Amino acid sequence: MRNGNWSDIYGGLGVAALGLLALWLCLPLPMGTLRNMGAGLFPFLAGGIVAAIGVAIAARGIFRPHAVAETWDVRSFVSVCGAIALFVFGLDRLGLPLTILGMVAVGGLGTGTLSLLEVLIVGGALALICTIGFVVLLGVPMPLMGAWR
Amino acid sequence: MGELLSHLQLGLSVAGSPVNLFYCLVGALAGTLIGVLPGLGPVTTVAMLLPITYYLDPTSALIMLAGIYYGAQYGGSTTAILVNMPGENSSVVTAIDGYQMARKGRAGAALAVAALASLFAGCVATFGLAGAAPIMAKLVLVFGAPEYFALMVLGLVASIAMANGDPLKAIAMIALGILLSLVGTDPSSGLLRMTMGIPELVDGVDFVPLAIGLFAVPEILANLRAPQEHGVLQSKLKDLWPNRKEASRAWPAAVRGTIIGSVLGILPGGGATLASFISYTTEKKLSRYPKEFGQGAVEGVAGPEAANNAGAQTSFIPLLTLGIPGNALMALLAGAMTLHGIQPGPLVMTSNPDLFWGLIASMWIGNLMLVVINLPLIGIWVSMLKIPYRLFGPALLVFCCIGAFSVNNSGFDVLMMMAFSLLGYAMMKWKFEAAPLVLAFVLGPMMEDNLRRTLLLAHGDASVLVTRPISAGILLVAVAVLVLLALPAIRRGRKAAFVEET
Repeated sequence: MRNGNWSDIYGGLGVAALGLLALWLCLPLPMGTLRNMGAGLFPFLAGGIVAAIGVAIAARGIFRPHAVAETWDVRSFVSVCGAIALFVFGLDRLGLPLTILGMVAVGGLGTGTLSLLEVLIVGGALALICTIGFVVLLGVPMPLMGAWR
Repeated sequence: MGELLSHLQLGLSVAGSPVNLFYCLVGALAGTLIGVLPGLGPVTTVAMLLPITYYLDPTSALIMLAGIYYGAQYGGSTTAILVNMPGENSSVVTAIDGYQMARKGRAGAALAVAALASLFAGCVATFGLAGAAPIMAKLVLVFGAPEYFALMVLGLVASIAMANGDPLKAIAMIALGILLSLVGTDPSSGLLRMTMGIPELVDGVDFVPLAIGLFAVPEILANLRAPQEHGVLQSKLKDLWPNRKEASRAWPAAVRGTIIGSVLGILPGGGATLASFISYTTEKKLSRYPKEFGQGAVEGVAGPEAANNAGAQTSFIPLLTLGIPGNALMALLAGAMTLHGIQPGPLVMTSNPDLFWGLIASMWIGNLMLVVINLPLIGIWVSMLKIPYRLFGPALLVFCCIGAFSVNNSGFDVLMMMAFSLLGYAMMKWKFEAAPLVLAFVLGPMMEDNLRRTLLLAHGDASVLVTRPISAGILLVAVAVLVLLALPAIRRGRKAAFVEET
């Protein structure tokens, strides 16, 4: 295949899918009249535009000169999501300092950008800074000790 | 005039209080830091710090966030000149001649010209903001729902022009942003829209997880494996002052840059980056020595640096007088104001005069602080560049999570942030821009509300939008911008202007 801008094709299809999802979610809502707009009218219009433009981008992408989409750094992305998930599910159980240390370990080692020693130094420093800065000074209600105690 | 002076006096007394001076300094320092560090922009930083400002007084919060924005304009020029690596998009053109000056041993002069031009522009533009804002606020009182709707359409169309990629993709992102903003309870009927039965979505998608997910996390991922070597120029910084010839060539450029930046900052979609580009081209055209451009022309530093700082200041005008943010960063500040229960718009001036004038006065103080922060302390900032980015990455990620969490103290918001990170990462890889989406997300509910009111008052006749002169005029401009964007010659010109940014 000579033609095809794959960023446009993937992106256009993704956008179109989100638009269609919105249209489907808005179907049960009342459209109302122009004089008295219903809850569904504006989101239905917006969803329709999203879907239509998504299709247009993908269709145009087929005829544009060939270009592959950038590859995803799946390993880094999963590591970063893992670190975020650790924050969500670990905060109450582990407490903030341990959670941060864990996040740095998952993120740093998972992406392969930090060595074990760096994880301990950066994680320890961050745990200290965040505890003092956010919990002590600003009073963000995050537990320092988890439920494991 | 007397009124203006008393307003400014009020502002100075608010901004001069020790607490606000402290947060102004924090903002200026943070702005300089992120300006110096590549790959961390003001939009990302403000998105991360936004929820934390909830714990501050609203005036202090806005003073700090504003300081980050204009502070980044100073910091960005430092690395542009010394390392040929613009820390911010708005300093891209500064790097062209600034770095050449540095290579010729005039690094100190280039830095001083950049800082002083910025200071001059910042002071003048802030004065313009103080003078223009009350007049604008009075003018917009005649605006009804159709005019507001038309203005928001213009703002969104302008953001397409600002997006440095494909206009069609920018339109898709605008529509998607509006769509996302409509999730939750419909304000007029109370019906739930697109919540998919998730109870946390009844109040809608929260702004902070959206902004962090779309801007910050993809940037962290993109910079993980970014090259770390910068050839820091080891030139001696002893000549910190421009000589007479440089000064006499720099100041007219700074004045022109200030005017260009002030005007472009007010326009919807405008701001620092566009202003610096236009100023550079203007200087090149007007100069008696056009051949020196690209070889270290001092005008090429003074003009754009004045323009980007002036643009940064005056882009507050649409937000503070109309309640309509002109660019993504102003959209974030609008979010910060709403977080504190302040509705951005013409009423801020009368309902929160201390906040309004305090913010404006703090810009003068902040600009003065920035000259001190940037000129004598330049060595510290340059040495920051030696710390590898990979050590910052985990810290940023932790700040993102705490930021998203602290809006409602809910883990659900952090999960939303993760979902938007996926969206943001996909958008980055497939070359869709996040800025139009965020702007549309803020404007979406206001657009629906104003459209609904327009149609209700006109008995369902949408033609009022084009029969009322002001709204017709605004929509005409929006159509003109769209047509211009579609013309092939302009498309090529835009590509050339943005080529160094991408």
